[in-house]
Amino acid sequence: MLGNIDMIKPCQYLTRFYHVIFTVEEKCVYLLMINLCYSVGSVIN
Amino acid sequence: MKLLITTTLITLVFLNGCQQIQQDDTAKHADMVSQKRGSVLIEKGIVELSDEQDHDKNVAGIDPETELYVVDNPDSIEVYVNKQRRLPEGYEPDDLVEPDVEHLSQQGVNRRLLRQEAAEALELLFEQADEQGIDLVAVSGYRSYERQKTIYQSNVANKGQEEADRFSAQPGTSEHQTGLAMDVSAASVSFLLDQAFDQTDEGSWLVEHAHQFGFVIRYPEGKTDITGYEFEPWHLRYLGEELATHLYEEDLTLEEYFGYHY
Repeated sequence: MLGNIDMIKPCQYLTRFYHVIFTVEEKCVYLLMINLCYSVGSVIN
Repeated sequence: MKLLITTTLITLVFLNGCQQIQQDDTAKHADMVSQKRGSVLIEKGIVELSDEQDHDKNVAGIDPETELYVVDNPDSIEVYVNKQRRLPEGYEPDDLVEPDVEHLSQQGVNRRLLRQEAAEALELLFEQADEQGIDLVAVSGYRSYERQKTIYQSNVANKGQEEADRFSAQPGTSEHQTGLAMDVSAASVSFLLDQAFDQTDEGSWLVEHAHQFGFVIRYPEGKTDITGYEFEPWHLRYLGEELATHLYEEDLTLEEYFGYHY
């Protein structure tokens, strides 16, 4: 796994709710929030 | 109240990122088209090989600085780069577009881009997956030479060169620079690029179906000694349906298919 595990735990928690989102626009916003969260922990490069 | 206002502002920023009109992309694309790739095909200073050496290996020569082979067909769908073979200096595909698929990044960023043919194939793959209840999300596509250089140097600084070389490509040798590779993930692994992706429904689906859309899992399990990279179940490489299906059916990597490592 890439990144610091302590930094990404909150982001992983966020991802649990992805499946309850249905519209494309909401999914897009949600994914951007998760991406921003991971960016803080420098997980996805 | 402050929290509400802040949350609303952040949401608006995100919405803007999601709904941004593609004019930025059009301008970027026009920019790329204007940079004629022919000028980078023949690099100054590369050592040309004899006809016997480069015959059928699509090699233009050797970069004396890095001692890597420089490929002569960067625009080919079947372009073959690895730890020994790199793209010509300054190479940028001239037909990069944004596939219309779920992506972790906002519109307008390079990592959403793929070459036209690969982008169309990825859209079909995502569409078919969605119809079968498989929810994929794209994470990282095209990377420029400069971007890969930053990533590689960061990995070397953090983990040391030997460890970094096991999962990170030196600039010029990354498949992401070809515009033919896309990393994908799913909510089931928190959208991370994690080997656990292989154990998910999404990962299993890709193993079985990616070739039908022209993609292969480029760095499969158990072939690290051949590819030079650890297992990456998230790394899709577009090769066209015919070659991808051949590799899938024969259980081959590109290294095994071409029969040489450079």
